[in-house]
This record gives sequence, structure tokens and C-alpha cells, in this order.
Amino acid sequence: MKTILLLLAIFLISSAHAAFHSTKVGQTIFEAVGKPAMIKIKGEAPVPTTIMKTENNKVSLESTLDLNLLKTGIDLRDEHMKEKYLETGKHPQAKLVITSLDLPANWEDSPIAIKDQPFKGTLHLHGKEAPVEGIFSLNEKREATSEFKIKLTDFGIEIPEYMGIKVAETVTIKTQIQLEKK
Amino acid sequence: MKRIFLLTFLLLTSKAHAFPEMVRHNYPNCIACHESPSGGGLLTNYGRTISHSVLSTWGGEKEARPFYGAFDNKYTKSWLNVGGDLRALQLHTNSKTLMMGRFIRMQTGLEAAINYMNFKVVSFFGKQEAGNMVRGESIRHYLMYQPTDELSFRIGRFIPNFGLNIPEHTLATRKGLGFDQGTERDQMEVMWGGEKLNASASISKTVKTDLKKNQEKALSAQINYTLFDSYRVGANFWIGKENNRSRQVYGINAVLGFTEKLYYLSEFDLQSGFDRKRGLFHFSKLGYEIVKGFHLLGIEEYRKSDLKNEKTLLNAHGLGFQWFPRPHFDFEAIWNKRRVVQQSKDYTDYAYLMMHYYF
Repeated sequence: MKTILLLLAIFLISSAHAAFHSTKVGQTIFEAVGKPAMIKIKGEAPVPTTIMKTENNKVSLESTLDLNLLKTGIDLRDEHMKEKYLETGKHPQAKLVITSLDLPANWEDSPIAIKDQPFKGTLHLHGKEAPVEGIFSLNEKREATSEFKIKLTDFGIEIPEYMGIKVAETVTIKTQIQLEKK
Repeated sequence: MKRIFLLTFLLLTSKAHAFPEMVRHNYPNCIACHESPSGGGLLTNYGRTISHSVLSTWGGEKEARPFYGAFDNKYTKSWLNVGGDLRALQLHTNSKTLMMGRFIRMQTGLEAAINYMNFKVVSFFGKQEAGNMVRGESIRHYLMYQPTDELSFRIGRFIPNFGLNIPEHTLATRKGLGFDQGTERDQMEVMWGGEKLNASASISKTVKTDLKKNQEKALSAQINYTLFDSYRVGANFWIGKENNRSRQVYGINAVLGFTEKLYYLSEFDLQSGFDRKRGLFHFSKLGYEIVKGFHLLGIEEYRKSDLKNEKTLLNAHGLGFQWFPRPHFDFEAIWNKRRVVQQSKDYTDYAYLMMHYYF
């Protein structure tokens, strides 16, 4: 029995792959347009906490962002965005889950570069979840970027309007993440 | 001496301010902050918010409202916007032949906008005249129809949308080409204000006054394109006819928001036609916001209305600052070395402090 357990342990250890975690290098950017003047509203936040790993030959990724860290450069706008629209008091985090990224089998051990690969995932935001589609890139230095668009109404978020400027329903989200093996 | 003061007054009397350098904050179009799609004049409610949250060193949201929010009215808030301007200038000139200092009241007036569905009516009431007199007259007024977020039509009396609508309207590309104070024209304009592309076209004619008997009828067009959200480049064209002569003006301009604090504006215009002369008009401004609301400025201008005649040369370069201490207040001080060859080949020290209170 001991031998079986030992063999099983060896097998499990050898088949487990190290996960890649985000470092503090990177950022999250969201872009929206305010109408009628076509104002570009750019928001920034630190890098989302991200884990990327292989399980059952599928590469998955989970990224979590603290929405209270979002900033657009205008304090009043940030206050409205967080309190009135995102309601970060009740829903402080957003989470992107991608269950299947199409990467080469040796991606964990060898430096690889892929560019603009389509992905499908699920975004959890404002207490709701909805499917999202975007593109994902990874370079040899383990710098990962992603870009996807969301519709605010898909997440039950009221279209922000302030002093006659109304934000377009679609918002573009971009992330830049430096991954490291742990 | 009176003539010099009168001339100075006419040169410096200001029209409404506009700040194309706001592109550095990703504002490609003026209509977010101003009632006018070409910028300047009455601020929208959003513009007033921006005046404290982005422009001013100090201040609060309520402070930025018209009349400090004293007359906020929920019934009129959605359709009526009232404001106005008080503007004055302290001017100093120092040359070998002239040393003068003078306080000049430049602008006193009320401006109102009425919005109803997709229509808007705007009027600026108050004509500043020499001797600190203000005549009760609407100098700028128009009816605007905006069927979509991007498209607008205007008819009325206003300054043509040509080149960069900068507050330093006495510079070569404004005054030199005839787009400064008192150049409101009767015109029809169509404008597209998109996310990247901004374009306008208009037909206009000058207003007959006691000083200006001849009317220039003009067709103009302008196109701007925004790159990387905070860089804007543009080109403009003007063809005008006045009695038996005509002119064409071709121009290019750029507003470059390198960062939210560092920006650069420049415009070049080539005019040909009037009396078969060809002239070049140029200005550039480099600004850096060292603390919120306080900008260091470097400005230079060049005007040669006849490239073959050295006597038509004016050039100047100088330094200064612009400060928005609180909502409603705007100060600009510029000192420069200016040379008007027709008057003298020597450079003259020229400085002003502009004080503006908008409400």
C-alpha cells in the first residue's frame, strides 16, 4: 500500500503544473465615450490579480480586480462611477474567468509568443455575470495582454449620465499583466 | 496717443475663451463644455463641473455653478443656461519712443442659451465700446439644430470656425486674418463632431459697421482629426470675396497633448489674393501645467502679410502664465518681445495681465 501511495504521490507531483501569477507590473485600462461631445473617458486601475494555469490540458485564467482602485482622472467622476453606477460598496470586485485558452502544450516551460488570439470568458461584475469575447496575447517575457468589450446593460449597470453627457453603452477593457511562475 | 489707445483697445478686446488644448484631457470637441460647437463663450453645466474639477486650483462643484448655485432651479435647469463675462486688461508697452500703461475693460455682457429638444438659441448681450461704455446689443446669436450627437447646423451671427479658436485672439492667425474681436459674421454652418473626425463648412458675410463698410462674403471649411486621443491635427480653407478683390487662405494646425500637463499648439496659414499679395501667418504656444490650474506658457507669433515686403513683418516671442485659481476666475499674464517692422526694426517690450471673471 505504501508503495502505491508513494507512486500515486510521485505521479500527482509530476503531472501538476506550476501556475503563473500576476506581478505588480501592469495595469487595467477601460475606455468609454461620452456623448454628445465624444469625450474619451479613460480609466485606469492597477494590474488585476491573475492566476493562469493548465488543468486537464486546458489553460485557464482567472483575473480579479478591486473596482475601488479605478480612477479616471476626475475625482467627482470617480465618485459617481463607483457609488452610483458600479456600486462598489455592494460589489467591490470584478472577475474575469477564461476556462479555455488555446496555447501550445509547452507554454509553461518554453517561452512562446501568441498574438491576438480570440478567447471567450465570463465576466462577473455588479453582482451579475455575462459572457465576453476578446483577444489575448502573450510574449516570450510572459507579458500578457487582453482586450474585450462589454455592454453595461448586460451587467445591470445604468448608463452613466452626468450634466448632459451620456456614456456610450459599450466599454472597452484592456489589461496588461506580467506573469511569473510560482 | 488716443489713437494708440483706441487701436490697442480694438486689438485686445476679447471674445469668449476657448481652450483647444483640452484635447490633452481627451476632449476632442468643444461642445462638451461650451454651448457653441466651435468653443468659447457660455459654459454648459458639464463645462462648469470641469472648470473646477479639471481646470481650477481650488473650488467645489456648487461654487462652479452659475451665480454660485444661488438661483438653481429644477424647473429651468434642463433648458435654460445663463452666464456672462467681465474681462479687463492691464497693458504695458515699452519701446524707445513709447512707454505706456493702461487699464482696459474688454468685455461686459450676459449670455443665455435656451435648449428645446434638438434646438438651441444662444445670445450674448453687451457690446463693449471704447471709453468703458457698454451698449445693450446682442453681438453674438444663433439658432442651432442638432439632429444627432455628431451633426449640428447653425444659423446666425458668430465668429467663423477657422483654425484654432484660441483665447489669445490678437495673435497673427486670429487678428492677422480677421478672426478676432468684432468679427462675428452672419453665417450658416454645418458641423460634424465625431469621435475622431471633426469637420465644418460655412458660408458667411461680414457685418457692416461704421468702421467696416465693405462686406466679405466667404466660404470656409475645416477638418480636424484626433490621433491617439490627445493629439489633433487639422486643415482649413477659406475663400472670400470683398468688392472686386478676393482672398484664399489655406491653413494647417495641430494641438498636441503630450501628457495631461504638457501641450503644444501651432497653426500656419498662407493667405493669397488680396492685392496679389501672399502672406504667412503663424503662432505657436507651449504650455505646462506645473500645479493644477497654473500653466507656464511660451508663445510666439509671426505675421508677414506680404512675403515680398519686409515692412509687413510682425514677430514676437514671450513667456507668461495662465492661472485658474477658482471656478469663475481666469488670469493670463504674458510678457514678450515684439517687433512691428513698419513701426520700428527694434523689438518692443510688451506685457499684459488679462483678468477674466465668468459667471
